[in-house]
Amino acid sequence: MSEEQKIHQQAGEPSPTRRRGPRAVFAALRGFVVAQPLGAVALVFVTAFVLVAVFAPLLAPYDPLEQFRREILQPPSGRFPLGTDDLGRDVLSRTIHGASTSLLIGVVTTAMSLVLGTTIGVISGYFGRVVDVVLQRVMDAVQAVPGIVLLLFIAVILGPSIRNTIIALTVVITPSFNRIARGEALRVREERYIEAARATGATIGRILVRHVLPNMFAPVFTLGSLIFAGVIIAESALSFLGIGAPPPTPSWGLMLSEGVRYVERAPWLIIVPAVVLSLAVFGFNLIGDALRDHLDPRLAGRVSPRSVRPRWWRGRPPSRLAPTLARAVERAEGDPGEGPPTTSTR
Amino acid sequence: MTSPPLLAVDDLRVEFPTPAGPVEAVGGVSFTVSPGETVAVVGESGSGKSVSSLAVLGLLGSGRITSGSVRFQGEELVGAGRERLRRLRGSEIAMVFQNPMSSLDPLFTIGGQIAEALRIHRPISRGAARARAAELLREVGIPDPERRLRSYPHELSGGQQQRVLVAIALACDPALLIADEPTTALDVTVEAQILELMRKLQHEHGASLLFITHDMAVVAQMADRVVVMYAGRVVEQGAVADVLRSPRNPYTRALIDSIATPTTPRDVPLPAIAGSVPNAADFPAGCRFHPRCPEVLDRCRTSEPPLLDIEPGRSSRCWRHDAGQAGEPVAAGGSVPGVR
Repeated sequence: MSEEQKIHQQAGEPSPTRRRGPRAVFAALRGFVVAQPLGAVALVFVTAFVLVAVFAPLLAPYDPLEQFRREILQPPSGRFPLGTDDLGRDVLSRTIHGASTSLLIGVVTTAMSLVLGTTIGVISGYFGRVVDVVLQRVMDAVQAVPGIVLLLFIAVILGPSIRNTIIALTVVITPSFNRIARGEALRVREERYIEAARATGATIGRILVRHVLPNMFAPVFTLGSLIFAGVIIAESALSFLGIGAPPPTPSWGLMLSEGVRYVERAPWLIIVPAVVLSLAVFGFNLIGDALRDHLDPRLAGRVSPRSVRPRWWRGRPPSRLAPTLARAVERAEGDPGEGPPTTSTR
Repeated sequence: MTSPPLLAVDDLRVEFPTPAGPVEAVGGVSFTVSPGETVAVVGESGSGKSVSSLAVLGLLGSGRITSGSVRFQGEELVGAGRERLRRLRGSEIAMVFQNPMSSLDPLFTIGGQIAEALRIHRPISRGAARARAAELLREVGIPDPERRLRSYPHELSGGQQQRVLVAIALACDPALLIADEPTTALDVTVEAQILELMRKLQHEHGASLLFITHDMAVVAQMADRVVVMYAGRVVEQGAVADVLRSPRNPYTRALIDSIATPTTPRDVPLPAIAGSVPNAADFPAGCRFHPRCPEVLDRCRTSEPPLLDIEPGRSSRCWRHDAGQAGEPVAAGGSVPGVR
């Protein structure tokens, strides 16, 4: 015993304090890719989108605002791979820079409404009573106004600019985060480990930051990625309506709105931004779904449908599938009370 | 006990709000814990034993102490400021809960959680807290503590998790350790180990132990004195040996009779107390135990007996003490000397 302790003291001293660093990140990533192959595909999409957005100035062949006056509405060619628009601007360059606009608005709006909504929701859910009632009624009031009306209202008052688009979207989206954060805070605050933390004398601030917030991270983060997709669409919609990013800005929504006029002469003007927009939104939605499944502890414990399938799938005639499938589902749900009917007497 | 008590709970009453109006879960409970002593609070579920212990820490949630006093080291805790209570929790009065798995935060390592308990109350560095955490793990008998510091709660067995909780509770050398059914979720062999560990550490640290349980067998093993609770009232208290050998209250007797021992005849069903603890919203009139009591008198149905000092350091709440043996004080109403 004492020898063992000595050995551990010698060997254990320089050991790292926690499992962190690049290896842990890689391991977590590998776990995600293995468990959620569709999510992995989406991850590739999203990574590509982010890289393009970040390195737009390096990737775009032209300045997105440069007008080649002699080459208006040119179809895709060697010089302009995705054609030019009605002012002779390169569609590829504008699309690439449009990714930056979308990323900027998406990231800032999502981050701001996540922080704001989560803060309000956690305070509301954890403290309850009067605080909860007051905060929730304010949130209800914001949610009671249709999103598009509120967006129009704010955008019209503040005027079209990227900053104002972000402010308007943040106001509209904050209640979503508030709602999920409040629900999670209500759940987590009843957990035994919160009571245990209180019993060890932790301050309210410490309990909230160290124990409540980390334990509600998964659903909030998942909502974040879904909201991100929504923000990109909303930004495009606002720009399409002419109350989002102001005209010279390279924005997918603006490109769509400008391109609609030439839909018969130059369909690439709307096909390109529409396809790119769809792919980006699709990617973020897929990632959101995959994250939800991957991070939800209730789903993680279950047998996934894929591991159930092979049991009845292998060359069985369809007539014999139903009972086998029923049993497989029973097993997957793991309910011992509802075992196979052979032993049941009830 | 001649030394002044470490903890003195006097006439404690706790109410919980319900849609049907406030409900009194604890009605006038008094007991003391002396330095170094182990006091067991026994009773069925719903008897108010856990609520009483949580009230000591000021952790009642929606509940409220309506009257009575809780004195810890001479200091009144009822009505004490939140910040004062918070500083006491974990440093002077620590608690071990019933369900070890759910009492540990699943997202943090064992080491992190023990270190946190230390760092809340003491200005020590991360490194020092870690070293002390490893020491504590070794003390509670977890093998290979340096490595275990980096484990997450789900990687440990139930017994090891409870050891970790004991380590967290002892981190700041509390004067009083409250254990709320610490072994209920564990199997019997592990239970014995944890009880042994708690007894050993209590002696080493010189702490007092307030032990909440529903198991008379555990009381016999652990405690110096026992407080038997029923339906929010203390029904009997005294030294463990006396109470177990000659229980004076019918409820205590019934609890002891329902323990299986090696000499219990195998062909006779183990006696059980009929019925269940009444709901706090609807306690029966008279003695709260009378509907289930095998020795009920007419008087028990209408008026509640006071808690009588039947011997030095021994008290019981029953009308039978009245009519019974000589030397017992005769109770009339509630205004009898010696009545708590």
